[in-house]
Amino acid sequence: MPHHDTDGLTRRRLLGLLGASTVGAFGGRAVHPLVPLQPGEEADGWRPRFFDAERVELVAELAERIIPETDTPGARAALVHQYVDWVVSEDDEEAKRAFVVGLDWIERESRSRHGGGFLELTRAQRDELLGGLARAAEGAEGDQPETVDDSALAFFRDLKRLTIHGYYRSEAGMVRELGYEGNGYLRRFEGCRHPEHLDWQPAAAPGPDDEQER
Amino acid sequence: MLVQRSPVVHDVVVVGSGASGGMAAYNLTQQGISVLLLDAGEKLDRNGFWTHVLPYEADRRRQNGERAPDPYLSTEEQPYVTPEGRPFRLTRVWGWGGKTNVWGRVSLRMSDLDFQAAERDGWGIPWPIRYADLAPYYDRVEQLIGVCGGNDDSEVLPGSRYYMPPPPPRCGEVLVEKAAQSLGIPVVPIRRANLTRDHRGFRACHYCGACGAGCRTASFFNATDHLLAFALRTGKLEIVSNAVVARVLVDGEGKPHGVEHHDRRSGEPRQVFARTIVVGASCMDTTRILLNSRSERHPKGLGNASDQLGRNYCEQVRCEVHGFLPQLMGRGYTNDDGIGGGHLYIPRFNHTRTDLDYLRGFGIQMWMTGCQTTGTYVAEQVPGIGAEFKREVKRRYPALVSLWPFGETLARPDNRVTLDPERVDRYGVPLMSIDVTFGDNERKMVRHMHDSAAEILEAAGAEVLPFDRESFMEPGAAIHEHGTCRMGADPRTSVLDGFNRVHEAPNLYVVDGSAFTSASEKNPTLTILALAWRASDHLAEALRRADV
Repeated sequence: MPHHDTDGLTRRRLLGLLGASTVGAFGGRAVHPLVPLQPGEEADGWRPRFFDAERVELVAELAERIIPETDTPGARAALVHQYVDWVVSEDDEEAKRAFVVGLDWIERESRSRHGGGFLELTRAQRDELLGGLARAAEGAEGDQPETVDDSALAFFRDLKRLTIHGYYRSEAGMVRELGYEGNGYLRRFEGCRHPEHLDWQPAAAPGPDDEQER
Repeated sequence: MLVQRSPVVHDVVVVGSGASGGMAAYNLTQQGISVLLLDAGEKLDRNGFWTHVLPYEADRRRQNGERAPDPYLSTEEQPYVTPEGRPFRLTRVWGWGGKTNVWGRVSLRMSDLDFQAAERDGWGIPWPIRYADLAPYYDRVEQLIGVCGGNDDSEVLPGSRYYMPPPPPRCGEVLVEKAAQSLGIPVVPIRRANLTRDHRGFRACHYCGACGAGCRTASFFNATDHLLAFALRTGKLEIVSNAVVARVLVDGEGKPHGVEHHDRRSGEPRQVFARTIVVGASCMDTTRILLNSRSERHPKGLGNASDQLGRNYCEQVRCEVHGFLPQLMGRGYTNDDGIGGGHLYIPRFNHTRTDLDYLRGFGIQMWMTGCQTTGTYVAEQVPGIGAEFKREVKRRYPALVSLWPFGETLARPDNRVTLDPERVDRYGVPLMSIDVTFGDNERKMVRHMHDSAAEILEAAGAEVLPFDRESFMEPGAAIHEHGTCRMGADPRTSVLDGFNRVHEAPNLYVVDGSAFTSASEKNPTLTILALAWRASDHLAEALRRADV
């Protein structure tokens, strides 16, 4: 029974994060303040296993647009790009290729719409591009641009899922955002003590004349 | 390769050290009987379990090249064969304690609704025992291993005087319980082999909810700490690790007199001999061993005079229905870890109906309620991106509820385990071939399972996540395999008698889930423990009377 996959992606292995998550205040700039001037190397000594420096930054920004900093850290501060790089680096060749093709699609779409790569767009343009892709991928109504083909939709789903796992498995996501305090040592389990739950009554059940069988 | 033959004739050889083999070894050694126990793996180091390693720490360790303890047997090491288009998900643990290292710990007594199921509805053969035969053993098992539960008692789920206090329900469970009750569906405290009191030198559970990673404090029943450790202290138990049993050996008369195994690391074949043999290698491995135990007197395998060995596979079909409770949305974090799994249980409630279009029934477990390590699952259900997405995930995180129905599948002769005619494992032993398809009864029950779960969640006011009422998890997903060495009164239609002895070989006992005549909707381990205790009592008596 306890096989439900709350532990990570099923077709990829669980991978590691180096270093602690950081909290930073970010303005509108696309560049992570902890990224030093040398491409491919981050302040905590992390080096990507798969992506080149430009793609690392692209992944970081895509993830940040999906789960941005609010009153709690976003994907960038949670180092989701490191997680994604690691997971993809462990993937089979087909999945690696598909992911890179997806990133390229994002870049092509950006240039086609706004004349620049994703990282050169304004925040609003980035949100709009990705938001539109999300709506198309998640089955919302509305017209899709011709350029949004099945592989772009599949890429988005993959990207969002990786971002979700990277973020909500991180300390920033689990603890600071969701407030998780579990996996501890309790002498007792308190259970529900809320009167609004203990006294709650469902809407009237069907009477004896109604269709009763379950 | 030269086969090492042990010169010793043991009183008992036990194959497998999980719930069934572990219980047999424990019970026999408590009675002063010497036991040689063979396990395919080694002792797992409880101190190495990642019980308290949070996901981000686990990810960090993995990136550094560390691996979490992984007790599961890979299909690379031991493949099995399935026909095209008929997948089977087989979960195996080769190591001391077997699947009890990682099991779900739900500990339910079967009732005469189960033991007399065939008499009631005509499907399959009757069990050769009744609840009254097993009740004293359920009593003993619960007192020995420690099970928490309530004071409920019904014809579906017999009660017990021996339960430790159950943990109180989580908020989501309180609301679901009220909803179910408003529909006339009873809900009871879960019965689980998590200690809620210190017991036999083990600390009570500390409610970290991480049972699935293995428990560092052995606060739930596992055979290694709760049975084998005690058995070893008697001085009567010898355990051989990394002993992958291939077959039971018989003498010139066809009487079982030993076991052949291969060393898991070197592949060397070895033979050990005994007056009695107890096989508890888990349903599928046990069946494979007996099928591979072919001889002139047993040309189709040992225990297969009836042609029933490997047939009549049955288990539980599974699906899940999830929802979000509006009463809990946005209410902030509460520690919902608990004892790793639901604190309430919905027993089978369809047994009084006469208008159903299917036979047998289902019970419903609750998992993943509230604020556990469920953030990723919740987020995957929320559309969109950006700050709004993030807010919505946080709002829904405390509100998750999940109902997991488990429905009994019917035993059919063509759902079966056989040997692959060509392929062998690394030791040259024929592979098992598993051919299982769910049938019409399962499909109809699954619809009712979905509909019932959804109705309960709707009555709780939940937003029910979309589901396909026709869908179900693949065979094997419940990890409750049964039927392939079934017990029965008639040797023509069963493999084992009422004391788990192979009909044509009464010094050979089969004590794991393969012995079940029917699968029930109930988790089997408590019944496996009770049957193994009872069978080993019978064996002990036979040894004392020199009947074997």
